[in-house]
Amino acid sequence: METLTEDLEPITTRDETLLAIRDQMGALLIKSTIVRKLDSLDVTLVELSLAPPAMVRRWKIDTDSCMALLEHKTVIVNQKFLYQVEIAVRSFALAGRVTECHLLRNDEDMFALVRRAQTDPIAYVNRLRRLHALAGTEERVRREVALALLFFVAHEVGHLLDKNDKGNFTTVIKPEAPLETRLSAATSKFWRHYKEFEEYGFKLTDLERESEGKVRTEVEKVLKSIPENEIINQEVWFAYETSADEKAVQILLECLELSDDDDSSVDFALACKALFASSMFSWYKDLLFYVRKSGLPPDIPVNAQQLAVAMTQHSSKYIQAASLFGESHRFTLLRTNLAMESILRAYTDFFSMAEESRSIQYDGPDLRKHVIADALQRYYLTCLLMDTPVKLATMGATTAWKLKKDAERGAPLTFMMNFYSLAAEVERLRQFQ
Amino acid sequence: MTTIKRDIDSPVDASAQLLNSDRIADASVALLHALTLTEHIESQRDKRERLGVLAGQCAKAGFEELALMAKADQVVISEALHETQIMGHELITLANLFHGIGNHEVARRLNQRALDIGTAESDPEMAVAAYTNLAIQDITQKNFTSALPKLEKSLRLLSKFESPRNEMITRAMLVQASDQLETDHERALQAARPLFGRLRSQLSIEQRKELTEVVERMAQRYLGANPGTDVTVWKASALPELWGA
Repeated sequence: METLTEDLEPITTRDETLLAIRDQMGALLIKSTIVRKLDSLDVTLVELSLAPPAMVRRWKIDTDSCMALLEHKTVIVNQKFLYQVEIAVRSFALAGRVTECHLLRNDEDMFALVRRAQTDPIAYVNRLRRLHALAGTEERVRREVALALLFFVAHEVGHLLDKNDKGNFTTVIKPEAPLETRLSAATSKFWRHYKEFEEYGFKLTDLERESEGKVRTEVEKVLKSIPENEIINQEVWFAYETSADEKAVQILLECLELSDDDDSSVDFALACKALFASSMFSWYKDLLFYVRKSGLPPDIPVNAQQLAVAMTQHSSKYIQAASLFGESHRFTLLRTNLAMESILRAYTDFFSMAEESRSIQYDGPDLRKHVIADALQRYYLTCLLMDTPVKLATMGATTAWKLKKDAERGAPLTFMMNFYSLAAEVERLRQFQ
Repeated sequence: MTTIKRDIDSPVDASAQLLNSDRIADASVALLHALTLTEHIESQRDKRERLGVLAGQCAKAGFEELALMAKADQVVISEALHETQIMGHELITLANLFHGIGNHEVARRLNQRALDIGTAESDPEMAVAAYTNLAIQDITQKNFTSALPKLEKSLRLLSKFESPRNEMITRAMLVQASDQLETDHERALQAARPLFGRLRSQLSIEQRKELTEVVERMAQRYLGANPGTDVTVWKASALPELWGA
């Protein structure tokens, strides 16, 4: 019987840049004491689109991103996913400070990047590689991609250490899957995310107080309609993913600390940039897909206003929006936000400073201060961008209650939620001290 | 070439229409398609020319990333053709694009490379553009001391050929950097003279207003440090183009 490695050989990536990035990531990863608890670890980059169905079934390697194969102590990385990450990291790395970045002028610029990247990812990534080679930034940007990959692989290592191999790394809407239509599943998901957002201080309103507990009552009624074992399973899977995320952060911090690179200040900043770029791409990719799949015609531009209009149409839109929150993961931007905060707490004294002496703006000549300010700005931008998912989760969690009120009233109540554009959030970031 | 040119024109035209309908993402995909089509142009020089046009169109449409890609392809072609001087000028445009998206580090590196080429190829125009760009970057980073010698070098080179626009930019920068450093007002006012004389038409109303404020500030500083100076006489001799009778 062939081994996993032998069997996967025909679909193993041939892209030398990706292989070099994988090796660079591996050299960092192996320094982690947490990773060394595994007696062996193999990270294999595969072109899964080339895998025959029998191979996928045999090894259970169906992933859009990365997955852990517990029995084989192997992490499988889908090449397609890594190209997306590389494109995101390289595109963001073309620009200087976050407030001048060409991708952050408005939502449309992010959607445009997603669309370009999807057109022909290999051709696009090759253009970006040529550009970075010419700009003299190839070495640094490769390290940045390697650090992003390290975080994703470290998440899977977390699954291996926890001895579970249920999930894949990312929250993505599967193109072939329909959007959510079940009120019960959507409510369960929204309530979990709403509570988690609240736990980390991302809160739109206090639903308990505002609704005098009525929202919770309706949520509980809906949750009762779900078989108990299903709810327990979801909670267990969510806990697995959360645990894997926490291990990923610990591993990342260990690798940054133990990095060979003399200038660890640059290394930690690169990690923040890499996480920021990857999650921005992932969030906008999901958002674009959701808005289009929920019925926005292709000739209507996707932006914050259109999202507000789309979400106003019917309660079913909020039920569908549950698809944006994936299966059993923390929300994309939240996991990045938490990881960045851990890095910044470990490498800067920003959070221990008195509030009045803190600043995320720096315009002077000190490189380290400049690097810290840039990383902090990216971190705070993810905080600001949490506004849309928090609104979706909060409104989504009230859907059952709202439907009950509509039934009592005999007519649906139209409720419009405003979403801030990326331009508005970047402008708010500029105003931060 | 004509067929390919038509093929490339089609997505470029489409992108303009899409932009008019605020379909930014679709417009950027159309321009990416145009960029891909240039790969079918056999003649490297024709391809380079088309890429140059496309880079301008992408930049104008607000897709700097695509403009950078087109420009980078141009540089690669020029390098392969050993047409170093053309490559130097392309590097300067590439540097300007990077500067526009806040990547001053890369912009500086590319300008420096262009400066080396300009110097080696005895191309004063290229050297001037590179020196001035490097100085602008210094000024952006508030490093006025470093900017001044570059602007002086640029100005010396500008005496070898005529380039009113570059000269205007260089002189304006020199005046502003001197103002920030509060030093050598005499040299700064001397550099300012053509700006209010033969180069006057190169300045916009706002630029003229801004420069007038700068030189007025310099004058106030000088007069404050030299009490007893006959203001009218001094001003008329220091900058007759602005303060003369």
